[in-house]
Amino acid sequence: MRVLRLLGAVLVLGAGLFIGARPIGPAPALGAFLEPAHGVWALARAAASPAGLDASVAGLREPVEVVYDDRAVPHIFARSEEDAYRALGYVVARDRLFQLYAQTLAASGRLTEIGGAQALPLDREMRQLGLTRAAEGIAARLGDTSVTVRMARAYADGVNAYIARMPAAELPLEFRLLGRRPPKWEPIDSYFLQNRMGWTLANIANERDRVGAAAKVGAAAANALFPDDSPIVEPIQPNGQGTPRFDTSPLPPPGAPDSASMLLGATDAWLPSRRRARADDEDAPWRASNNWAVMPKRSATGHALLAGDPHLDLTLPSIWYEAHLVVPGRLDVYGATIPGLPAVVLGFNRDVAWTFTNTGADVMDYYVEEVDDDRHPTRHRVDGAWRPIEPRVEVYRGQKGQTIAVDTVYYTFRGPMQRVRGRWLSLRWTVLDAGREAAGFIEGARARTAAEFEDAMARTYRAPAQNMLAADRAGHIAIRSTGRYPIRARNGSVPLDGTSSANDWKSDLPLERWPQAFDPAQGYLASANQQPVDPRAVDFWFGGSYDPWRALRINALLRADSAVTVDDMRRFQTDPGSARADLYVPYFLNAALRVASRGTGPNRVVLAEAGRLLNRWDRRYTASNTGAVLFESAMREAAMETWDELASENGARRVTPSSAVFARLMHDSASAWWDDRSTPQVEDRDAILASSLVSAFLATRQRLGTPGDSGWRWSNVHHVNIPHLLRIPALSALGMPIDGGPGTLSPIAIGGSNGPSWRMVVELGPTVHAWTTYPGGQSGNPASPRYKDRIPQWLAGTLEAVHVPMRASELPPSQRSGSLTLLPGR
Amino acid sequence: MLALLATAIAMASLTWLLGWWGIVIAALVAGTLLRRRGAPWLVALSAIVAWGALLAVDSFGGRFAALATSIAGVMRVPVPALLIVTLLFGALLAWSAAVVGDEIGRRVRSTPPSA
Repeated sequence: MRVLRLLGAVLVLGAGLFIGARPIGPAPALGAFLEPAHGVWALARAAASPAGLDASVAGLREPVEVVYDDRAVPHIFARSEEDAYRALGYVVARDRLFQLYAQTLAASGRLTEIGGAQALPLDREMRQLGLTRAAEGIAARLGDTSVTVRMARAYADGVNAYIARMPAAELPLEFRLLGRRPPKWEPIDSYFLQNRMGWTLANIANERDRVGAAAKVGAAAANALFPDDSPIVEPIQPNGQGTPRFDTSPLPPPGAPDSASMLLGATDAWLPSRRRARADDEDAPWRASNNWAVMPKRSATGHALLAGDPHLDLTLPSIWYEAHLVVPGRLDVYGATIPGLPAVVLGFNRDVAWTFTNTGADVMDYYVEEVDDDRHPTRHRVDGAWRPIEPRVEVYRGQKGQTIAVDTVYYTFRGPMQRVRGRWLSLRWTVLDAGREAAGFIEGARARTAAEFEDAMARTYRAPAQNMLAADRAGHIAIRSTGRYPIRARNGSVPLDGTSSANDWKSDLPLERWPQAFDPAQGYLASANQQPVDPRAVDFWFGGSYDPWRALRINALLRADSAVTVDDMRRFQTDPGSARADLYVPYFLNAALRVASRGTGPNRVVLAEAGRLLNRWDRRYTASNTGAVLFESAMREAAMETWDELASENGARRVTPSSAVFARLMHDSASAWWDDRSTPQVEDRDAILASSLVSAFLATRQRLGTPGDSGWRWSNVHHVNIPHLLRIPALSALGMPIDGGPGTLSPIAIGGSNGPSWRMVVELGPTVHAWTTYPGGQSGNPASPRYKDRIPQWLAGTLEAVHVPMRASELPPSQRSGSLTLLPGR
Repeated sequence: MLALLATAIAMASLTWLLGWWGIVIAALVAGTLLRRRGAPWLVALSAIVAWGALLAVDSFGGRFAALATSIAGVMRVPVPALLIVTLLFGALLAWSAAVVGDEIGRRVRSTPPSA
């Protein structure tokens, strides 16, 4: 009996030690994971802000005081800028350590190290685009004395100081689940992240669609369906019209397929794989960012006001982290930083506030290269002479450091090459040549006027181009689409012949020709990813594809309000109105009436009921609204029926012109595009719109039940999802109803996980006041009350007033949630 | 009772100092030293008390429930099951180590002193 008991105990002990020390499948090693002193349970103790903690940071020259306010925002009081950014690295690491790690892996093409082979396509994308090599180039190119390098090193000091002193209890949950430890942070990790943002904001969908359309309906029609210039123009740089301009000219009818485009590939064969997949996103037009500012003459308080809400993929923790950095006499900047970047990207100081939207210019060109060896190219031909190709071996490691794949990426002088459908294409892209962007943020943070801010950014910032809006305490407002715009011999909307240097970039558009405006007569400025400049005013091809609807809406709201308040600015950010709906609904209603009076066409009873429902709709996309569902369904049906000439075979994605182009077609009720080729009769605009409305009504009733019931609520089809970085549902915030829809200022897209990632309103009076929020929270620890505490206010469209103390002592104890002192260390 | 408390304190202390191995070492020693019937069960109970006390310390900040819900969600198990697994894991390690310790103690004690 004793022997049996001993045998059992040895077996239990052996098994316990084994599962305690070794991970089994996806489960972590249970010993360290479950143990309550330092294991996962200890994260409950780490959830609070630090209370009077002292910590040493290598490289720190003088002590830095950090005070956390009641929103868990760290206020950093340092005596030099480098110390301030060291402290920023420290506090960001304390709150977002796993995010730093995960973002770096994603940005440097090393996700396989935690995700294994299934992450290989994502890593290959990063490395084949040359982003990792470009980051290494920044490190090598910038001297030790450059601001970018100095601050990146200081930031790394701070991150590494936290990692070195991190108590076991504070090891983030995700590291425990993955069975990993945080590696040392390197300055180059900041450059990786910077380049990754360039990729996130790249834009070339329009040119792909144009080629696809040309292969079906000819080049003339395709150019009109996917135009360089938006058919609805209310540009970022005011054109003095004070009202949008609509292109009402008829669209060219469908023509014969363009043979060159067919050769190029039926749709998108010339685009590298991952780029193609991303561009296939049907929600792409929903991607959105907004910013606007009003001058004192149009604000209720007589002070300049500024608002901004960049739209990006939403994640937990959020891409943004709120912080305040103070160096007396030198720096006093508050705003949103991206964990990993030694800079406040969007924010304000005591004199100036700034915020960005993406310009969306096409700054990415492909060249078809002639190489000496199709399998292992070593040279490519340009102007009849061979030029060298540089090979670079990319090794992909698995979770245990094992090699899981090895690629060779070849580089011409233009950039990285990819082999696509039997051809070698090289990529020229402004992001691959950039590198000093962080310096722009660091210098811009010290600006005293809006003009100084714009000039500081223009000196160093190149990519990705951003519509940089600024306002200052003196009442000036300014916007400039800052970035590098290459001047080409011909536009880069299709792959260019790489054997001729005539197709290479010649120079860059000079600053005076960038889209920009300072203190416009209209008294306000607004950008919402619309065309930056009226094509009638500037003869330059910016490329890109532009969505006009949000710009129309915000411009209308600002025009109508000559005494804008801070609360108006906040309210506009989540305004549920839609210029798109305002334009289209009358067309549908008139079509329903006309078709009914014809006595032909679709089911008249259903058409009448659908028309009544649509007529009752207030054209607002509130979560409880029951009319938006029908309209959106009708818009989809109408696009499908109208653009049947572009339908694809074999179930491939069809290219669909934007709703702005569709608006142009509305003016031509008898255009050939309206005809549904699958029917014997010839349809016109009203027939198609009425038929779409009936189809939408029937489909919606079948799917959601009786019209007008709660089943038709917008919130039943429109949600926001904020996934955790590792897509773990338990750590995500999913399926939340929210106001907003296509064409509104606050749309939610990409499966509900792309939307306003940060909202800020700043009033630039004698004392600066600001209000912010973002969908998440300051802490990356799911046990923290600050993990996602801001989501309710973000959903409701409210903002919180921020504290901006000039000294630590200005923040009273009632507004403090923690503090720490960083001391010089080795 | 005193033995249970003393063992639990030792286990909690060693866990704090050494991590989860602390409970194995403490149980091994306790199993060797405790010369009473049912000692391994007492050691297992001590482990539950020790780790339970440490969990109670973790819960002082008021964020324990939120954390437990998150972890249970990640592991796809109910919250009570996660807590039971935690305590049971420590108890099983302690019991088995104590049995082994008991056997070692018996052998040491039964070995005649060398001449």
